[in-house]
Amino acid sequence: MLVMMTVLLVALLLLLGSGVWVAFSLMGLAWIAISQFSSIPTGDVMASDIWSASYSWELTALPMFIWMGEILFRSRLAEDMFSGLSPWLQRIPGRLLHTNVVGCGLFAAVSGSSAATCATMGKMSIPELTKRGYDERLVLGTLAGSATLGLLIPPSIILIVYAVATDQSIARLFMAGVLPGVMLITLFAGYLMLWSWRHPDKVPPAEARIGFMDKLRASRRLIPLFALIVGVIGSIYAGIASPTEAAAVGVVLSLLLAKLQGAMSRRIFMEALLGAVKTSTMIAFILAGASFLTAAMGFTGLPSDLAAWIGTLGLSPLMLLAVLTVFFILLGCFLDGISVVVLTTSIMLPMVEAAGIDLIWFGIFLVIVVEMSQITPPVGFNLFVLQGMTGRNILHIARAALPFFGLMLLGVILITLFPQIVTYLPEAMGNS
Amino acid sequence: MQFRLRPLYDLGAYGAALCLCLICTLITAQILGRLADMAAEQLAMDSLGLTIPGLSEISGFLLVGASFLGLAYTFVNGGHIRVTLLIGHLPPKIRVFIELWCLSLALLLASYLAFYEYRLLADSIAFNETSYGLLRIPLWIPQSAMLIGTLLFCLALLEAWVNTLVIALTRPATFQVDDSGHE
Repeated sequence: MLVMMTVLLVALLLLLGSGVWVAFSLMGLAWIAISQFSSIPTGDVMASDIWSASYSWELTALPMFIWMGEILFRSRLAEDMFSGLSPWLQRIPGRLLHTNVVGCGLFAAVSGSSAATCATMGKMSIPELTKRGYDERLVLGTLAGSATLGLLIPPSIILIVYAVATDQSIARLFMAGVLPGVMLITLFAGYLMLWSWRHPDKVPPAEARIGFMDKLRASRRLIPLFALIVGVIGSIYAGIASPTEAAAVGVVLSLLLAKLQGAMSRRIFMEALLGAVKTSTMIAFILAGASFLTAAMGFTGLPSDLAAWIGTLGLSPLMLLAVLTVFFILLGCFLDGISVVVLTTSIMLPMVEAAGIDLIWFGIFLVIVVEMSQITPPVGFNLFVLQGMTGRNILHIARAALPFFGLMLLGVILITLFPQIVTYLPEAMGNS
Repeated sequence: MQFRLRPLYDLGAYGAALCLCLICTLITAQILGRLADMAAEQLAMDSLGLTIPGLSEISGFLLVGASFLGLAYTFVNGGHIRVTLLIGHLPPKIRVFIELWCLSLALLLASYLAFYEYRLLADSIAFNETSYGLLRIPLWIPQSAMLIGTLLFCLALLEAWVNTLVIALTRPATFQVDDSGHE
């Protein structure tokens, strides 16, 4: 087992490190594992496995949610959100900085990607907030941190990837992500309040007070967003629609919304559609490679050996989770979230199951750790997005986002101590 | 990088886009049908039975088209993700050979996959395999889409490989690659 593990580990590092595309790295690794360490016809397994991983009703939700995000990214949702939220947040300590947190949280509830959330909110809030004299560092930090909620709050692309790779219910995973998402929003907002209480001089004064009715009038623009959120997440929770159906309806509603805002034309429609093709083929191909790798690993018996070996160490689940957290954070410094998830599920899942950890809970745990990796250099997609938008150095943005890294770590500890935060909603939704 | 066959890859992407549109349309039609059914039952009428039989099969197979036909397009537009941390700052003269190694490996694996997909397809035709659902869709239809998509991808990789090889042999110092392939 040691020889096999060493060979595969070196091969993985070599493939990924030399810049071979992630999907091909996974396939190459799987090819080595099967052809060298088993007597199974490699090519036939590869084709039939990739085939059966590629057609599925559940997986259909993936391109649909990606498409929905692409449409909303091109709509006027971010502007509406800023003008709808800001009147309410004027008086809270931290003031408009909260539009980043709340806005990202809300946008995350219609979008499945952290980078898209970051880009959508950022193109609105960075200029508006810096114009009003908010501390640039804190603006970037809150944005980078809060945008990672796109991964956790349903719909979430990465949770679909996890669900498909581990054969868990997408609907349950989505629901499991809701309360931890709210928890993180609360932590972020709490931190902002504390910070502005400590540094009152760094927060610009509130703008003119406006009446309650005017506030309501301003938030009228939030109605379409709430309708989308309730329509998509609500119908999944109530069991009216499967995630795939909810996603397709989400696409249609987003198109209507963009049309009503006057933000839809033939050109934008095609841009969004081809953008969705680009992202979803990329992810689908990685998933295909990952499923081949999972099968290959099954033939070599490595994951179960690994599980048995970890079992002999006599680690408590808590210690195992602590070790895994550190491991994933390190991995996340160099790999993107989807690669972390598929590598984990194809190699470590038996180990996690053997330790008696609930797989729905583990999915949420993994996603929060992956969220942390979105803001850690050298590879962190939110950092890349913000670097592209502001021209700031990536390390500068990473430092600004560091407190949020700590808050997410706190979040991981909280869901470990109180697993009900994750499991309550999926258990409450019954057997749908 | 210049791709002479870009229109062909675009065509693949349009095919994938069409699959996505079809999936969305069919599912929406199904839901509208279900709502109409519920309304009809409320009005004490009989159920209209407005459902699309085998929708989940059809969507699943359309997804194959959506996932594979766009592979080449995604590749030529830098959409497939990779780790460029170690190789991103290498001088062009070295980077061009690393790129050649990556492309060779990808081309090999993609062609290998295409070959075995072809065998899978040939088996499906020989044994008349169909899906398990209501519609009994012959498997060769979605499997052909998978094969065509993979072959397009091979073609795009081959084109990139040839381009890179020419640069590596003639003017390696001028090699440039776009590393913008993020999420």
